[in-house]
Amino acid sequence: MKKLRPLPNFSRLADWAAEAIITIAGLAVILTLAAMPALMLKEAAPLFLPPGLKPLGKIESPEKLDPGQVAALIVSADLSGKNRAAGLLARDGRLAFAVPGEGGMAFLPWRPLTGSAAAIRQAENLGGGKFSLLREDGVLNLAQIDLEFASDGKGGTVVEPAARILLEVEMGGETAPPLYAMLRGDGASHQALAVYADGTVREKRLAPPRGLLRRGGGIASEREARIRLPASLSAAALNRSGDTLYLGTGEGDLIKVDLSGDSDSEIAWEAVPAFPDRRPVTALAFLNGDYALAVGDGLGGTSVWFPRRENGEFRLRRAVAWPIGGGAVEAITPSLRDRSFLSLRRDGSLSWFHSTTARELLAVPARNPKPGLLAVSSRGDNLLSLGSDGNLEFQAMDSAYPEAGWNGFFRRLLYEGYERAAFVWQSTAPESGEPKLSLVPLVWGSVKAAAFAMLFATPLALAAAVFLSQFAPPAWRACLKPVVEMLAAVPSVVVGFLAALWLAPLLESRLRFFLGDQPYDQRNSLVIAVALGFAVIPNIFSLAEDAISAVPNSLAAAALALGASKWQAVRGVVLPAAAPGIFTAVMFGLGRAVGETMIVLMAAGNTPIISLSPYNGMRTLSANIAVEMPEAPVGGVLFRTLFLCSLLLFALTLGINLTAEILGHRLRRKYGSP
Amino acid sequence: MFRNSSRKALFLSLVLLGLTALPAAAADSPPVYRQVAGVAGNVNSVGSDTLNNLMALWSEAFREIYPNVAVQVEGKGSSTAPPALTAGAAQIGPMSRLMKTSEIEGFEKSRGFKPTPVAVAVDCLAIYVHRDNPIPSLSLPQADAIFSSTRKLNHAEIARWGEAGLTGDWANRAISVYGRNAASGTYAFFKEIAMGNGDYKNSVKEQPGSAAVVNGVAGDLGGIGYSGIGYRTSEVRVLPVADGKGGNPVEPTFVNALNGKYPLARLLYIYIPKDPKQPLPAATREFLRFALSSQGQELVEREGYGALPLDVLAEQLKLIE
Repeated sequence: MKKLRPLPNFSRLADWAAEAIITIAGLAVILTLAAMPALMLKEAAPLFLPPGLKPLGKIESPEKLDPGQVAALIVSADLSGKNRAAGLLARDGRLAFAVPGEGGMAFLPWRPLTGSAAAIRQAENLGGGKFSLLREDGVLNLAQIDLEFASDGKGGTVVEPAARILLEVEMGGETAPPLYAMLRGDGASHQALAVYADGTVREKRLAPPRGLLRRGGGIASEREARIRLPASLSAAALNRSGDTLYLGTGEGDLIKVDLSGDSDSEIAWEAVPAFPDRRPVTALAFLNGDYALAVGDGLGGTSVWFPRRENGEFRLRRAVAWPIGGGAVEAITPSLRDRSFLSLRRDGSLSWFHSTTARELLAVPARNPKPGLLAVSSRGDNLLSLGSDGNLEFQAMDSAYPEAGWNGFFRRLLYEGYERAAFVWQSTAPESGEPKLSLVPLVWGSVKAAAFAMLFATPLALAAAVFLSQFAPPAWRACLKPVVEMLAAVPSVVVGFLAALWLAPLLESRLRFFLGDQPYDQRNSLVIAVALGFAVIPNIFSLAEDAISAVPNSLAAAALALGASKWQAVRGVVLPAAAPGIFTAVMFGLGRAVGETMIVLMAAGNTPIISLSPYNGMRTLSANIAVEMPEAPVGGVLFRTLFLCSLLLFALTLGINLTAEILGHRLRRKYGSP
Repeated sequence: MFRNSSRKALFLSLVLLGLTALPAAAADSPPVYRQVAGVAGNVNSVGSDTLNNLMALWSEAFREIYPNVAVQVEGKGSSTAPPALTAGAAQIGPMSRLMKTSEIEGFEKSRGFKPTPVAVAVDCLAIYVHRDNPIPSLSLPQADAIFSSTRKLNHAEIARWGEAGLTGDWANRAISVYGRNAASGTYAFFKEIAMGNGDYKNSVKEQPGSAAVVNGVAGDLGGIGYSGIGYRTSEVRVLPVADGKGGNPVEPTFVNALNGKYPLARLLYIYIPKDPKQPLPAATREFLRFALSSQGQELVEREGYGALPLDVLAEQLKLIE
């Protein structure tokens, strides 16, 4: 027996190196595949995190003022969130600021806020450091209280508190000061509004100068109206644009006062019996966006109302209501950032609600000392409360992503101004807009595009496969199969381009005659059916043809020998035997159709509609990611939602491919080979 | 007699003064741009599509003055400007709207100071219809009813041209609505002014650029869309717009824009990351100076936008120093 020579050293080394490289490459591929969904999950997961309130520490207020002696609280934090500052406006017009110093937070000495000497009856935070102050003598002040952090030029931040009175408007009534009054504006224009006990609403306005550049002087005007107050006025809120005033009464009515239009137009008003059980309205506040109104009532219930169209007219209607309990709602503090707000009840319990998704984000049980006054920082990340013991407490508000969550993505929601609840995707909202993040229209778009494409592609591809493998001369097969498979090499951007710019207008001009006046979008499901179908035909055809060709010729020959016609043999013998392969082919085609991006991006119109009609377009999950990617700020809610979209898309295609594998396997066992 | 004649003389001299003063004031144009020494480097611009053509014109003319400066312009929508400025991928960010608070914060968080908006031109956002469309004008509430699903301006739904007042063949013709994509500042501006911050109908065909909107309308008999006035072509018609509060329809001209009569007027901006403690890079500073010079503003007018009034130009120039 011939003895094997030992391998030379070099060969052994090459052997070892090859094994190492192949192992590493293989592991890397598997790891990457596992890491991709993990990464998507990591980016999308924060959307579902619960919000939280985290205590950050207490400071003793100077003189231990109780909440009744304090008109307003101010809180701010720098962008890093590490430094905070607090302000306390006492009813007697003095201000105290607490700023970070050497040894932690320290109060600066009291300083006076100039203006009328009378005590402050009402203070309202207008945002941007502006406060409207109503004095006991009926004088309205617009105060600017600055407590925002700025860069100190050395990488840190610094806060320099400042306060001054910007405007003063006399609003004293003939007999008594107003029950409610508010002043807003700036140097160029302002609006002062007061409601008196006899139901008079008086407005003094300095309209801004006309023109794009706002040059020149404003136009002063005054108007008033008398409103029949059904009962005592118990709460009021004016929106930021100053065109809508809501009043709440002690007998459960909401009164909407329309202040839009110029000074010549009349002040219109309308009373809505909001609560049939006549429970008093105890707190009112406009939510961010100036449209929806949060209402707190005497039983501790909180609800959100906004005008909705009913029979062509806008009517104030309730959109959401949360359960009662905990004593009357004493204060509602809206976030200046999103549609969330805090509702503080008499027993000291606190609820954090989000209006769009109708969720209670967080419930904080009653505690001692009970919080009496609240303030939220302009970025909505810090909460300052003044307890009944006179101490101030900071809390970090982590609202996470309130507009997200299961409700936000998958439930029908009643958006502001909508007639009924709907699934809507309209991600980019203007400043203080309401983002609408329903993923349902996108999933629908993906499914619809794939379904239309499969309806077009499956019969064609399968017919071609049967023809080529069973009926065509073998020479044809050798030539045609590679040609059809070559179609798969046409880049999808080319298909999309042709579909959008050539096929869509052509189809419209041909169909216009039959459709008459039916609504018809040029970029629609029919175009997608053809274009996307065209892209998946080679995949289905190739796999199906392989499966049919793999059926042993002996089977068909046996059928033919028994007297079956060609078609009978194909239908009765060949196709059932090839069924598992055909099924797998169709499923892989479907997987490709769901994931395809470029064609739908270019030819589907990208309108996120839920409709069965073949004459309108759709926006698919994949196209949505491509469309919105450049405008998604890193770490924002849209950014994470796009990751969720990709996760969903991944799950969808994975699901389809897995089904293909598993069912294909089962069919294979059932029908034997191939 | 004497008094009378002296009065006449005074009047005459005043008129003469006025006559001589008027042309003098008109000739008083923005500063002419003159080349300065030592300017080199890159200017990358990422942002508004509305300003895209204008940016291209400016950069072309600017390169003629400074062959050593490379100017690159990318315009996919105003929303792309803040991320690019924040990341330092762009030195200037043209925008057709002001930044949102969240965008300013994102910038401030990573750069430590706020970005500065410099107004560079006046724009009228125009509503376009097909050339053959006979509709005389639209009011804002009508536009809202055509474009918006929420119809916050409270007009009955308009889906066919008949509902906007057309008769005959047009009465039953469906309105085909074109708009911009959400990254666009124009999209946000139209949403705010014409729709009271309501929502777009989801049948609005979102186009990736201003020219695409105009082209879409040009090729669609029932089409309507909005874009900057600079994208007007002969195949579309620009509609006068009424404010819907009793005012007459107003043509989108720059006179009407500046006096506030045209409701869809706006300023176009270039945002710059100007660190308060440091001067701007020379190339960026000179580019803006050029845009605000008489040559630059001439190009603004050639592109179909409105030049800024002199006092506004002076204010903007101060922002750059």
